[in-house]
Order: sequence, then C-alpha cells, then structure tokens
Amino acid sequence: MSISMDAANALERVIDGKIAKAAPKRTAAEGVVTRVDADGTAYVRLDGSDVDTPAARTAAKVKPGQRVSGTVRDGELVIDGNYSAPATDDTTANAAIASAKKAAKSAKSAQDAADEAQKVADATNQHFWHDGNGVHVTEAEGDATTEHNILMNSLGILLRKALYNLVSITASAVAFFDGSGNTAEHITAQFGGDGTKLYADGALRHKTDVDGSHYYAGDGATKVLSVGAGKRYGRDSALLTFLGETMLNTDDAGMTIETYASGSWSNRTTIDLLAYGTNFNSAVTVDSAGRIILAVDRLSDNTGPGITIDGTGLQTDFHGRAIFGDEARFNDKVTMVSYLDFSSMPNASTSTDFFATGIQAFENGGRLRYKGLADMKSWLGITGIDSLVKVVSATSSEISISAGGNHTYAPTLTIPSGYTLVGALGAKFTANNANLSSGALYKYSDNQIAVNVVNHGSSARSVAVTTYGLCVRTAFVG
Amino acid sequence: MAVDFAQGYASSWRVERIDPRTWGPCGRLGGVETIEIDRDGTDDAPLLETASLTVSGAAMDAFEPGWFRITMEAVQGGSSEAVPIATVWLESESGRYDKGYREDTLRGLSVLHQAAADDAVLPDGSFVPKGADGASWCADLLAGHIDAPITAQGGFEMPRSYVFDLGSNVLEAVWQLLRAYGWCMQADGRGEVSILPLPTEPVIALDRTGAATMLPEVSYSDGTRSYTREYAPNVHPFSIVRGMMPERGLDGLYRVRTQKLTCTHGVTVQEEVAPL
Repeated sequence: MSISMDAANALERVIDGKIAKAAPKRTAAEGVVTRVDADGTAYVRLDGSDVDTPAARTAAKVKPGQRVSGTVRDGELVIDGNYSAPATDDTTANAAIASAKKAAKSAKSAQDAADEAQKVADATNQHFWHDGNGVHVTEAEGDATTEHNILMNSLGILLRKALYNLVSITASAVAFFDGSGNTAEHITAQFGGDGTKLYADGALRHKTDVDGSHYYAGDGATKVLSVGAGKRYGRDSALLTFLGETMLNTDDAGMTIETYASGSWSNRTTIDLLAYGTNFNSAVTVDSAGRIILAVDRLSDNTGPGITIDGTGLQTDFHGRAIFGDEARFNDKVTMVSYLDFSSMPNASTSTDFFATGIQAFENGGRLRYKGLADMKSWLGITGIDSLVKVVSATSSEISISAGGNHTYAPTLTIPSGYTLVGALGAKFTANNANLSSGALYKYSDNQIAVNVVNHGSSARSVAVTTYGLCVRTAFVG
Repeated sequence: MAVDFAQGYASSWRVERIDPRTWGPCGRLGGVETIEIDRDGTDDAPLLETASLTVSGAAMDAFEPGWFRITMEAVQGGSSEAVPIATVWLESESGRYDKGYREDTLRGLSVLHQAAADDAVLPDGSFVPKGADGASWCADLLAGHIDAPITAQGGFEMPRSYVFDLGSNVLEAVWQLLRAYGWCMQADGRGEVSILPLPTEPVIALDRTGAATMLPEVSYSDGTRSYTREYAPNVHPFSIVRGMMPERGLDGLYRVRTQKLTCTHGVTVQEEVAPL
C-alpha cells in the first residue's frame, strides 16, 4: 500500500508512539434542527456535516428548521441555544405564564396551554421591514429566511416557514402548503375560482365545484365518486356518480341508474318510488335502446302489480314475453327447459283459474308443447268434463279440440252418464266438412243436424235431420 | 514441544515483508542490526505500538516502505518456535554513511496508524446509535481504514447514542467509545487487532519462580511500577499481571501500561504497570 500525503502529514504528528494533538478539540458547534422525534429527541445537522446527530438534551425548545448551538462532550450533543427562537426575558416569560394560565381554561390540556403560551411569548419579538421583495414581518431583524415570517407585496401575501410557504394568497387562489416546499406537490388545500381542492401526498383527492363534490383515487385523476345536483329529463336531480361510469339519478319522479358511453349517459334502470303518470312504485330495467326488458310494476292491463320479463324489449306477446301477474301462482317449483312442465305442479287438477289464463297465454305463442289431448289431459290432471269445459279461448266461447288436423286420430268427446251436452253442436265446419269421419255428428246449417255415415271425399254420405224431415245425402252436399 | 520462555533459550531474528492482501510474508529484509518495539496503552497513545530498527549494509538500497513482521526464532533443546513479536509499517527515518558503510534507522508504525490519517477524520456529529453493538461498530469502522485483520471478541449494546468529539478521526473515535464502555484494543505479534473487554484475569505471575527472569530493579512513580523482565507471550498493554513479590513492591494485580521490547538475545521487556 502507499500512504497519501494527508496520511503522511498525519504521521508527522506521531512522536514516540503517541499522536500529538494537532489542535485543541472543539466542543462547540452550530447547526440546524432537522427533526424532532415523538420522544422529544432532536436531531441536528452540524455545519459542514452530513450527519443528523441526536441531541441528548436540549436547553432550549427547538423545532425543525431552527438554527441552534450545541456542545459535544462526553459522547453527548447538548443543544444549549436556539438562534431562531431565543429565550425571552422575564417580562415576556411572565406574560407567557399569564397567558398560559388563561389559555389553560379553554385548552383541552395543560400541554396545549403551555404550547400556546410559548407562541405568545415568542411572538413578542417581531420586526416589520421591507426590501425589494416586499414587506416582511419576521422574528429576526432583516432575516426572512428563518423561522415563520410574512411576505407581502402587490402580487400576494405569503405566510412562510423560513422560505417555504405555509399559506399563499394570490390573485388566482388561496393555497395552503405543507411547509416543506413551494412546488405544486406541497399544496394541501387550494381555494380558487374553479373550486375548492384538497390534496394528499401531492395528489388531488377532493374537489368541490359548481357540479358538486368529487372524490379522487390516489392517482389524483380518477374521479371515484361525485355527489352533485343537475338537470335530468328536464327535472332537478340529485346525482351520485361512481367512477364516471355509473350514475344514480334521483328526482321527484323516482330514480334511474344510468351508464356512461359514447359521450352521454343512458338510462338502464328506472325505479319509481314515487307515483307519477300511470306508473306506481315501479322498477324497470331497460336495454341500451331504452326498451323495457324487466319491469316490476302495475301490469299493462291494469290488473295489478306484476313482473314482466321480455328479452327483446318489444313488449308484445309474440316476443318471448312472460308476465307474472296476480293470477300467476307458482309455488315452490316451476321447471322451465324449452317448455313448461306442470307435472309437479301441486294441486294442478284444481287450479282451474290458472288453466283458464295459462292456456290463453300459451296457445297464441305456440309455446305450449303437447303430444295430444290425452297427454294434455294427463299433464293437466283433467279427469272430469267439468274441468274441460272451462278451457276456453280468449276470443271465443267455443270449445276447440284438435289433433293436428289428422282426423284419423280425432279425439272422442265422451259425455258421462247423467250429463247433458248443451250447445256443443254449434260447432261449424266449412271447407273441410268432407273430411269428417264416419259417424260424425255435426251441424250442417241452422236448421239441420247431420250424421256422417260414409268416409270423406266424393263418396261421403250423411244422414241429416232437417225441418223438412230426415234426409240422406251423398257427396258434395251443401 | 513448545519453548518455555521462563527457561533459557537461544534466539535469532528475521524481518519479513508482509503482503497486505494476504497478511502473510512475501520477502525478507536483511541487514537488521537492532530492533526496539514500544507498546503503549495510555490514553494519549492510540497507535498502541511503534518500532525502531537499524539496518546496515546494502539492504536499504532497494528498500520500499511497507508492512513488515518481526519474528523471533527461539530454540530450546531440540525444539524451536517462531514467535511473531510485532507487525509494523516500516519507513526510513534517517540514514548515514560512515567510511562507505551505510546505516539506516527505520521507523515502524502500528497497524492502526492508517485509522489516524487526516483522510480518516469523521464528519462532525458522527455517532454510534443507541442499540447498536459498539464492538462490532468499531471493528467495522476500523476495517474500512486499516489493512490489518481485526476481530471483535464479544460485543456490547449501546445504552444510548454516543457522539464522538468534534474533529475526531476513526482511531480516536474508536478509542473514545471503547474507553467509555470499558473495552480496549490489542495488537498481537502478527499485527492482528482484537477488540475486547478490558482483561480482568492475569496472564502471567511475577513470582519467585519467575524471579530468575526478572531483573531486580523495580522503580515507583505515581503508583506505577517499572521493572524489566524476560519475554513472555501474550502480554500486551491492558493485560493483567499478578505481582507475587511483595519484597520488591509487586503484590497484587496490575494492568500493563507500557512495554519496551529490546530484541537482542531473546527479548528484554521493560514494563510499566499500574495497580488495579
């Protein structure tokens, strides 16, 4: 290895194994308080050093940023003076004590009172002066670079901690700073023409403006929640907006839940908690075209509250519409696959009201799937003619029994003994009368009853009872 | 069989150059005439050790300063033992020619001297934080400034932060901390530094058995005792010796303050001790 010149110089001080004292050791030092821990330990950066040294004791109350004097001895740094906040004389101290006693009455704790008293005591040493920057109010005469001070000029007023703004009042805004810097990230609150803004860690977190009150995510840009007032559908509304994508709009007509897309808000769900127009306490979900796909409201025929499900939103019976009104009585089990299965419907055989409207609903849409009347009767549990009579169409009082047009499998209407078939012969057939099976009883005209005795087609034969007597007819009767 | 230094033995000397990277020998210095080593554990002697050598002949013609280890080769009966006495940084202090005969005086600095250089001055306010291991902290700090190996024998937790005197260099700072907490440093013959608590147990006894190795003169000054004895291993400043010759004023435990080792036929140790 080699020894540097500095090292060589140091070696010159080595005499007989001892190191001569190059210079008397210093004990006094000055520096700036960099921080004060919760336990009261103050750290001082001594002049010319890059070390924050803990002070074992402080003979003067200190705060970060204050310039202090100290002594290093016996392994300890003791702060024994504060240039930024020199000790007060007895007069001001006494006044401070008096202030402390007075303040203690309203302060929550004795410590609060002492702190306030100290501030009163410190504030007695003030200087009012000016320079090219403006008018200064400082604790140290001619020094606006330490301690708390005020700078005023034609551009504004600054309340500062040393050179760092605490409050700035300018033409555009009143801003509060965190006291550790003057750039935008040190602003904690700002009151300006565009609203009131609150910041945390340099990011905008809350803003109040004419549109309402807005809360932002940690990035300072994403608007998480907005609460405001506005106009929707021509009415005054209270608006609650989430992440700028979903809005809850409430007005005197009810509530809508809307989504934002393509530059505008669109209604998705309407909840009318208040009665207006023809709707009463309704909840409606609409699709992107505004068509109602789910409604819980009064039914369109005004028969009472109900639920309407319509995947198409076209609101017609031919487009998959299901209506559950006060006549729908699904108890604990309805299984829907591609058709309705009533096999497990409890008390089906006696639910005559359901059959009356249920058949009506299904027959038009062709949604009721069955293999024939026998299956139909089996599923429906029809065991007596009385039940069957109640199955009527919505537009006609006629009974319609069909086997899909194939007369070969035409069903038989059986009248149990003791029952009378009334008006059943009013059934009218027209073009297909030639297709009647042999033995079919039918009404030929208002004053004729006929019995078909030969099969259909040109060879058909029938016997008719008319006002003229008993007739036997061949094909192409009429 | 090891040499019993309390008995008579023959000795020879060698001074070897030490490679700072391996801390082992890498050459030899010839022409060494005399060797004196001063060891000092008093407050104003942070280096612990210095040496003075005289070298004659042409050995100095190609001399370059560096680390050197002074080793005694002791022979007793059929046994021999290489005993490192000191490892120091040697540099030329002065020289003279007398009728064509060259003689140089070399100054030896202890392994700690690098920590006392001007570039080893600590920033004002430097401190050891509360809760730190003071011994390890010292060892780590020194290791960054000296070539010699250093070991902390144990450790102690700092009960509070310790701020060094303003303007202290590394060596001064280490001594401040060690002395404040009852610790010390010792450098052995290989130049290896140990950080250890102040010893409390004696390493040798100055008794009648050993009296044969003691020169009879014991002087007094401010409570300290000064005497001359023959070499014994593992006795350094801060070590404890037990005096068992009340008739010579040595009775009880004493701590070694200074030693002056003269390397001729064997080693003569002039020692100053203070009672505990």
